[in-house]
This record gives sequence, structure tokens and C-alpha cells, in this order.
Amino acid sequence: MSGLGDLFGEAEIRAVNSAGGSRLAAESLDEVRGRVRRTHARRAAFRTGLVAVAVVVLGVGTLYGVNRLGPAPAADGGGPTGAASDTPSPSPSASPSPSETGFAWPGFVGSLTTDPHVPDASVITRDVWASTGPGWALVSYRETWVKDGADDRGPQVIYLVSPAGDRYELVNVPGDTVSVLAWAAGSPTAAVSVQPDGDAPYFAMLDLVTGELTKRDGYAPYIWSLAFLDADGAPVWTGNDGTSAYVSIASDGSQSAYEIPAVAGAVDFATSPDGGFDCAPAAPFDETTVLLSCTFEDSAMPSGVMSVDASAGEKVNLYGMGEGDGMALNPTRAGSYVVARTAPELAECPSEYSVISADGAVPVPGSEAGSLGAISTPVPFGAVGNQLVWALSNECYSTPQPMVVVRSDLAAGTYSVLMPYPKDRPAGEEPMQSVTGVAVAQ
Amino acid sequence: MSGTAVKWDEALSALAAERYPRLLGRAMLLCGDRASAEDLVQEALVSALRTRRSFESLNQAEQYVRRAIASRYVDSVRSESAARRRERALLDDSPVPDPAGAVGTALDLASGLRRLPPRERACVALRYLDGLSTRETADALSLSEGAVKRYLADGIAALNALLGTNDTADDPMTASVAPKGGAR
Repeated sequence: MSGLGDLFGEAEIRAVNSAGGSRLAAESLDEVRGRVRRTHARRAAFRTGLVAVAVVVLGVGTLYGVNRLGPAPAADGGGPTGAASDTPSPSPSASPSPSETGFAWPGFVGSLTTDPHVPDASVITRDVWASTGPGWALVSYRETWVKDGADDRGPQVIYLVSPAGDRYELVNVPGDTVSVLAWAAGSPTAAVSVQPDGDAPYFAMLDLVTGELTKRDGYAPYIWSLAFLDADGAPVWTGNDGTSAYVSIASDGSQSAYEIPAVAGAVDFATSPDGGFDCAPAAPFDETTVLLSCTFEDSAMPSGVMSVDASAGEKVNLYGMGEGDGMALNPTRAGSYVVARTAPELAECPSEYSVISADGAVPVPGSEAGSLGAISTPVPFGAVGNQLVWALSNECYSTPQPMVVVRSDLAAGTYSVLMPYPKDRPAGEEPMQSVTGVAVAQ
Repeated sequence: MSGTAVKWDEALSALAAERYPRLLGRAMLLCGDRASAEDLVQEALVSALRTRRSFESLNQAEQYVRRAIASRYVDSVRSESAARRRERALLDDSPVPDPAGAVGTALDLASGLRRLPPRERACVALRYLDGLSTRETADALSLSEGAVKRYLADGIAALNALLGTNDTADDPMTASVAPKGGAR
């Protein structure tokens, strides 16, 4: 008797034979090519809206460079269970103050890349470098675009960005595209993933003064492999098949397997026998509480999010756990809060970014409709206290490409733009990618 | 490796010219009818090719599209499910037959596969046609590993009953290229 494997093989051969001689019709081929090209490029309306808003936001020019946006999310400071939070929200250092940290000057050249395909920035100075601290971000930036059907790319620059959105060029890195993964304030090196064209990425340490790359053993994730933030606000990456499920990467390049704590018993506790849904661990909250994504029987995608502390016998519905409640994807902790991609109904592409809690959902500051434009996949890069650094990207699934980086104060309801949408450029030149990586100093 | 990279538009042309019957055959196994399969292949091509600007080889590009056929198939089921939920309808266009009643009939694999609910169908197809592990299948279809295990166990049990086979849902020892993730 043949096994299922043999039968599948035979069935596929029959199916292929029945399709033998088939060709994709020319008009269908053109349609596919056009859709792919349009997806690679950016939607013009999205770009226009983002540029306009970025200009407005940056133009406000307050000390912190932020705008107050409506009611603060979860203003009572409630965490996922809605209880009062005693977690303080550290204020980011908004302006350089040499006396705060006094990091040694590593000898930056202090030049500026002049090119229409890089954002406005300032020369790095000793005072600025000395004042870096938690909440400052390292951003790798390289614009790619399509013009007349051909791909092209601009210079690659590593920026140091203050929590207020002040950008300073550190180094120009020619050659293969790098994505910064981890960095510590004051460190002259950063852990990066290097992506040669047409080849698999490799892990390396980047010298922020010289731009030199030193290849290291280790896992080199793509930017879209970022799974969630750990309880300290640091990114955790989806591992590859040969390693663990999740990987943490430290600023010195060391890597370690990551396991979501408090998983034991949580799924069984959350899932009632007749509940009609399955749950799976999605992200950590703390040592005893885990965030679960739940999928209803009649859906192929998770739609609900629960916070579960099995040891205490507590479970809280955070979003989408009832009929008609919509859906939430990719929950992650940020300070005292939980944020997730949300949609009021089951949707092909959830297009909101929300702080979710037992009391309901409110937009992550900066994500409201009309403020920074439509969101496809928000990517959280790090959190320091209740300050969340995240990006708007231009793909729904698969390979989101960050285009705008935002710091949102989840407690105060304010935000600042750290990296704006690419500048206007010659007609017909559609940007595909700009930000290739963000590392937030903890 | 860089010298053999295939740009996405070159990959598209080559896939359409050389690999289309294989892709269409895969889609027909899932959809059951040619018109839906043609639409599915087109959606899968868009989904796979927009994720990358180049591929290491044409085979890798094809592998991405084959995975996308399964994931887009499940996505389409999800969209249909969402519509049903919104309309509060109680339709089910893919009922699971009573396997016992089918034993002894002259079912072939394709017919048996179409009797499975869509998610079971996609999970079983990825297991047997691509040799994916439970985790890889969960990743490809955006399902939890627990859900994939259940769909595999149920789907294989149903096929065993329908076709007289005696397979189990154990993970395969081999795994092929995964479209997501980093260095391997």
C-alpha cells in the first residue's frame, strides 16, 4: 500500500500534467509585473501625506519636538490588566548636555553626506556624543527607488538621533546594505546584519567611526524578523530554523536564545474547552504574565489578544476576543502598556496601531489617521520606559520596509518624528525603502 | 552567490515561461478548479515577488511562490471567513464528510484532499509536498504551531480513513528553504 507521501507525489504529477502547456497569459503577466513594481515603489498619496506631516511636525520646533495629540492613551497608566502602574516613565534627554554622561569622543570625522537621497542632519559634535543616553537611537539609512522600471540606491549613512528627532551623521558606509540591530549609548560599535545583493545576510560589528565591518559568527536577522520587545524594551528576533525560536542580540554582538517566560500553563488556562478559539504565546509581559494571540475556529489568522498570568489565575481580554470585536496582531509590551496592530473588523491588513487594554484601545500617539498617514505594518524597535520607538512601513505582511521612524510617549500622548519620509525627488522616482535598521539605546 | 542572483522581474519572466504548469498544478491541488487556481497563482506571484528584489536562483524564487500559493490560499479562506462572520451567516462551503462513509470508494488523493477543510488542506499539502516541519508550516501560514499540529493530525487522519493509508503527523526529518528569516 502506498503512503500519503507517494499519493501526494502522484497527485501533483497528475495536476502538473493536466496543466501542461499552460502559460501565464501576457496580460496576466503584465498585471503581475505592474503590481509588484507598484508595491516596490511607494504609493504617491502615502508619500505626499507623510512628507507634509513630517514637515509640520519638525517645523513646530518645540524643545522636545513633539505635538500633543488628543487624549493620552490609558491615561491612568494602566498596564494590560488595567491596574494602576507604578512604572515611572523616564523622560528622554531632549537636548545635549555634556555633563550627563560624558562618553569619550571616539574620533568621528564629522563630515556630512551631501545628496538628495539622505535626510537633513547635523555634524556630530563632542558635546552631542557625550550627552547620548537611553532613548537615543542609531539608525541605518539607505534609500532605494525605482525609476523607469530600474532599481537604484543612494548613499548609506548611519545617524545618531536624539529622542527629540535631532539627527547627526556618524559615518557613511559604502558597499553592502547594513541594518543596525543593537547599540549601547556611547559605544563606537554596533551589531549589524549585512545584506549583500543576492546573497544571505551575515552578522557583523560596525565601526561607527570608520565604517569598517568585522564579520562575526552569529545569526543575522532581516529587519522584518523582529518578533517583539522583551520586558526591558529590547527587540527579540525570530530565530532561524537551525537555532532557537527567538534570539536576543546585545550591543556587543553577543547572542542568546530567548524564551518567553510564564508560558507554562498559560495556553491551557486561557483556552476554555468550548471557547471556539486556540491561543499561542505571542510576546512576554513580565516574569509571570504572557501575551497570547488567539485564533477563532472560523479564521485562519489570530484576531484576539489576551494577557494571562496562569500562576495567579488571571486572564484579561485585551482586544478582539468577542464576536465582532475586530482583530489585533503582533502584540508587544512597551513600558507599562501593550501595543498591537489592530482593525475594528477582521481585515486583510490591520491598519491601526493601538495601545490595547481591558479598558479598550486608543491610538499609539502619531498613528492616528491623518497624522502620519496610513499604516501598513508598524515595527516596534525599542522602548525606554513608556517611550516607544517604532516605524511605519509600507508592506502589510512579508517584508515591511520602515519609511518613517517615530518616538511615541505612551503616557503623555505625544510623539516626535525621528526619521522623516524621504525627501521629494525628481518626477518618476518612487522610493521603496529608506530606514534599514534602528537600534535604541537602553 | 552574488553573480547568480536573479532579479525579481527576470524571475517572473522565467517562472511564467518555464514553471507555470508546476505552479498551476500545485494551486489546483488546493483549489480544486482551474479558474481559482489561475487566480491563486497570480496572487502568489505578486505576494512572493514583492518581498524581494532578487533571488539566489530561479529555484529559490519558485520555492517562494509555492509557499505563497499555500499562504494566499489560506488568506483567501480567511477573507471569506471574515465576510461570513460579518454577515453572521452560517455557511460552510467545505464540509468535512464522514470519513467512514467514504472508505472503500475509489477516491484519489486530489479528491480526498478537497474533502478536507481549507486549513487542514494547506497544512497537509505543505507537509507532504514541501516537507515542511510543523514550525515552518505555522510560519508560512501565520498559524500557531498548536493549530498546525491539530490540523495535520485531523487532516492526515481523515485522509487515512478516506484512502486507506496509515500515516502519522510526525515532523519530517528534512526541511526545505523557508521564505522568511535570516541567514541559514
